[in-house]
Order: sequence, then C-alpha cells, then structure tokens
Amino acid sequence: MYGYQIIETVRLRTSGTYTLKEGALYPALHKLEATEFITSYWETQENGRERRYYSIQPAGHAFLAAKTKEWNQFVDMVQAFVGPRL
Amino acid sequence: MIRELEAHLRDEAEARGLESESGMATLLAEKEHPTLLAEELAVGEGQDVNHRSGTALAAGMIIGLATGGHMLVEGWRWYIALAFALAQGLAVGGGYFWVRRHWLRLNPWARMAVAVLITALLSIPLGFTTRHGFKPTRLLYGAFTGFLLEHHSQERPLWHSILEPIAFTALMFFLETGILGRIRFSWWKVPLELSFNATIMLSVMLAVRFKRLLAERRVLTPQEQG
Repeated sequence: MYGYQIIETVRLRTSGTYTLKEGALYPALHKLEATEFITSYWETQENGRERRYYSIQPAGHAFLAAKTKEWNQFVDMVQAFVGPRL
Repeated sequence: MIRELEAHLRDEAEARGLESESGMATLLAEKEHPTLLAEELAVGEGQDVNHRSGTALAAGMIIGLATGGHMLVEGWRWYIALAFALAQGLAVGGGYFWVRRHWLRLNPWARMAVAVLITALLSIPLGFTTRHGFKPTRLLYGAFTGFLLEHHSQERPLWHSILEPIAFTALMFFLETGILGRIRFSWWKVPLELSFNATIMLSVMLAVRFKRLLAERRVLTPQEQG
C-alpha cells in the first residue's frame, strides 16, 4: 500500500471517524521501516508518476499478531468489567 | 521525503479530481504548515538513523562478546580472541544488521544468499585471526553467522536451533580434516568446536531478540509501552 491509500483505508474502515494526517503517518511509516517491520520501494505508474509502496515483513506480522492479541485481551477485560452492551 | 510528500499530494489530488491550480491551492490550505511537517519529519529521520546504527552495533557486540569470550575460555591468546570478537561482532554482526534493510524486498532464497555472501565478505578480517597467516575457512564462520541471522529473523522450530550448530560442526570437520587435511581429527576437538558453534547460535538468537525488543520499544510511544 502507498501513503494516501493507507490514509483512505483508515478513514473508510472507521467510517470517517478517524483521519490520519500526513504528519502522523509518514513518521510512523519511517519508524516502522527503521525497525524492519515494513519495507518500502518506489514504483513508476503507467502515467509516469512515482509512488512509494510499503509492505509488511515477517517481523511486522509477528509484532502485529502480538499487539492484536494484547488488544483483544484488553477489550475482553473492559467488556467483562463494563458488562454486556444494552 | 519531499519526493514522497509530493507523490502523496498528487495521489490525493487525483483521487479528489482536483486538476486546476485553485483546486491544488485548496488542497494545500487543508494541510499542516510545511515547516511544521518538515521539522517533525526531520526529527524522526534523525532518530531512525540513530536507532538503526545503535541497535546494529549493540546486536553485533553481543555476537562479538560471546564468540571472543568463548575463544578466551578455550585458551586462545587474548589478542586473537579480541580480534575475532571485533571482526565477528562489529564487521559481521553489526555490518549485517546495518545493510540488511537494502535486501528486504528480495524473495527468501535470494535474501539468504545475499546474507551469506555479505557476511562471508565482511568476515575476511576473521581469516587473519590465526597464528599461521590467512585462513580462508574462517570466512565460513562469518557465512554461518549470516545464515543464522537471516534464518532466525523469523520464529523457527527449536529443532532448527539444535541441528544447525551440529551440521556446521560436521561441515567444518569434513573440510578441515577430510578435504583440506589441515588438522588431524581428534574426538576431543568435537565438543570444543560444537560448543563454539552453539555459542554463535545462541548469541545470534540473543542479538535478534534484543534488536526486536528495541524495535518494539522504538515503534510504541512511551504511553503505549505499558
């Protein structure tokens, strides 16, 4: 995925509730790349324009799986405390 | 960075159907002030470089200290153990971690081939860590380290970690005693060589885990670290 595509995907998945700014996205992407959780490459489009794509690495998948598990445990804990939705 | 932001703006303009100059001006007016954005990105870039070089060095030192320490315990002269530690740790370990990001996009087999080749080349100084001139088979220790670093960059079954030092020990004995005839085989040398290669294995796994831990701390903000 490329930068604008990531912003749009987040916006659509959150039904417009959360909008990532470029100032938040690109430092995060570069940080993830420095830690080798993702990698990036430039690709030239048919119209001659260049775009930088990002793809997740195995280490990134492992980190994502670990954090998703932590998040789900947290949600279950809060749900157990708050009680079922009315 | 400017190239990337420019590409981003063009993508957004295309997606929103903005083709005129006034359309682009409207788009730019919605964005953060360029100076603020540039400052944030510049600070991040500097920290990224520090993180990469710092973790590469630290992870390489783990490998160097472990292997050099083992040589000292084996009874090698301190300066040879130190030279081996520096070459193995800084050149091979640190060097591998520093350049690895350039070949991450290759397929797994190509990545392994590049890792083994690069670390073998980086370990040329290891060939001089002997009392008898240059020993080319020392480069195989560098190549073995590169193999382990790349192979264990992902979670692997335990039996891999057990088999790899055994297989490499067998390979080294086959080369040194069978093919090159440089040393005479003795059974007492086997546990010594095996323990050295197992030390390389363990230090690589520790270095990889340590680097992963630092990466996770780098990615998460202090509030998220819990």
